Amino acid sequence: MVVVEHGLVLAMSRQAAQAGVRLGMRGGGVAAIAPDTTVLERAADKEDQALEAIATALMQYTPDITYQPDWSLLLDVSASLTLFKGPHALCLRVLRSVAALGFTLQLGAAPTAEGAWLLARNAPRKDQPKGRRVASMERLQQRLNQLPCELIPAAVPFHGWLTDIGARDLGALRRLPRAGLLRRTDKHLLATLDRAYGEAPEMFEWIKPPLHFSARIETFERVEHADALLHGASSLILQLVGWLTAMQQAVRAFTLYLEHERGRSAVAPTTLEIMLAEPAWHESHLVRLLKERLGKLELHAPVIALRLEAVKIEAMLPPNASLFPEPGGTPQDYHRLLELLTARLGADNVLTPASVDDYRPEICNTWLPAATRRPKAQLDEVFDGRPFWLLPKPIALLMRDNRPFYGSALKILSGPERLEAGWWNDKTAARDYFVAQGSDASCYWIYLERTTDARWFLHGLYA
Amino acid sequence: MLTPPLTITAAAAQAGRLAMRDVWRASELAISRSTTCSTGHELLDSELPNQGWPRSALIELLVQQHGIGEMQLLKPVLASLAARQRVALVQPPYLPHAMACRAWQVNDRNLLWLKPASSADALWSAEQILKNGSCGAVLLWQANVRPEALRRLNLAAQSTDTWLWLLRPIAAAADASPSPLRMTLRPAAGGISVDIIKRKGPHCDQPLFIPLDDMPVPLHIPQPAIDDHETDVKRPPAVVAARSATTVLV
Repeated sequence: MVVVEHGLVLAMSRQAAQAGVRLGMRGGGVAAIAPDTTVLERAADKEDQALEAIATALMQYTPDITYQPDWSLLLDVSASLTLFKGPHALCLRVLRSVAALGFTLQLGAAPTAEGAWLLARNAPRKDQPKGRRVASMERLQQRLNQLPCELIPAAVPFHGWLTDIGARDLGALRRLPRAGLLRRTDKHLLATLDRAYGEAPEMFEWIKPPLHFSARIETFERVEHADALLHGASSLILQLVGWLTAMQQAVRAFTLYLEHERGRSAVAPTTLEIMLAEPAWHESHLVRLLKERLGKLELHAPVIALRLEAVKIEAMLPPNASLFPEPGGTPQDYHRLLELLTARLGADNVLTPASVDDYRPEICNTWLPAATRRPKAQLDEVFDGRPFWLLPKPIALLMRDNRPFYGSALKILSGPERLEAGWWNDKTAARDYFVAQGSDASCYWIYLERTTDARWFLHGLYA
Repeated sequence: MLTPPLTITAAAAQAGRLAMRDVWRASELAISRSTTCSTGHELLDSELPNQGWPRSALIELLVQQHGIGEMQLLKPVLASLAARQRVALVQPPYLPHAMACRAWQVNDRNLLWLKPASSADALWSAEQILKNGSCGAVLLWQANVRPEALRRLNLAAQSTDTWLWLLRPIAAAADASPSPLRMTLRPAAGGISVDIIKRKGPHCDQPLFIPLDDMPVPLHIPQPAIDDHETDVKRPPAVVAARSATTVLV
């Protein structure tokens, strides 16, 4: 794969380089050397979007982020170092986040923003030390002294002149008389140099996060399996997490739109709405929920793009840590578990009892989805002698020798308990319940339907 | 000479046994530091290592059929767990009756009933609940479990503080299992017959009869059946009444 700008090769993949493609080559030349290569025109708007996505995702590490020329981002992490356990751990997390978005970056870290930027952009020669991260001011100055002058954009027009007078690196440039340099070159050159060496204050205008979150990503190809969308979706979640952290908010509901290829007529995007019981801003939990939902989804058309929108947000609550951890986990843990189970099994398959005040066991024994909130059950009555298992539908029993038969002839142990209800809505249940025992001593809850054609039914098992 | 006689009294033998608590004899039940919860049935407690259901372990209950008193066997432990923590029922064979739980003093508000569509989903759910650790107990019903799934469940159980019971058909008793405690359950009048087929300790020779309070029992003591009506002339009238009452009911 090769990226072309103004007809000249700007970047290429490793395979293209092995095929003989070189930087600065003409587009036609590429087609002649390696005909299989995909030639792409550079898309500045997509690069802007990518940079914006990275900036949003990195907002989870610091709210102070700004764009810098040459596709760079500056992060002021001085306030975040303790939280993320030191500069090294923080750098690793930044690298991992950007890799999760599908991009590579060169990361420089230094006490001054301009210095870090210069270190990040420098491609070290063989005689230079490799690291791009320094922690102390002295080390930074030593490293900056070895950098070539043309790294500073303002020095590029004077590159030839500076080389001629022997100022190859920044150290030599700084040793030149300041007044003369100012007269002969740009004032931006000296300003940049001062900021990089920490001799002038640095002022930035930090990016302000938008008030509403909506991020979109295009898939590389037409995706036909919902599972394959997880990578794109998790990079959107990463952006959402960055945005939530910057806004000090937690998300309660978000929607993922799966945009389909437009055929003859427009196809409405498939929407995946995810509601959370407890507002969350943790990447791992949101990704896991999305994974389970995507795993259940069946696509009716290939997907070409994903869009994520935060529908409902709430203020982020600080963790309410108790001195000793509770043995049964926190309520938040339980809510997370319910969400996860609901996402995979469906809301109708994760149930808690909601006993209804009714004598008919099948109505009384109502179970409702555990994820929904509802008022507490009002039923406080307790009926004794009920079996633990109820049959979903009572089984009509066979009769042998005038006795109900289920596996063996049943012997009545106790009863009857008369039950008559439901006459008000034409679901009349008029039954006499008995406890019966089979020959193997297992007990059953059976009833005789009190109709003209009386029949025995099995309704429960004493477990 | 006044040397004391060299006889070992019973008390001394007991003291010696206590001093060597780290030595385990094959004839004894294992004593370990693992946490257990009393089953609530004295007879069963006395036959279990550490006198109770082990926590953080896969306990297998192999039932002859569903509805023979297996839940009543677990009733005391469920009642104590459900008072504070949640109890998850994963893929039960029938509808759990919340009213029965309430009558048993098991807090029914803490019950969670999962109805996974497939066996794989059920195992996944059980594993997630164990990993999450916010539930007190998991009861999982499965007919056919592959050995690797059993090992996985056992590992998941070992890493949490959750009780886990796996209820399987009795036919699985012949299969190998990593579970440290397995027992078969068969119906018995007024209780349940428990046969411990695997435990940390000696082999359990005979099935235990565990009486269960809430198991329905006949209200009257069954009378010996009278075969011949003609010969038994001096029949007491009470028996006649009882017999006639039975025929009416049946």
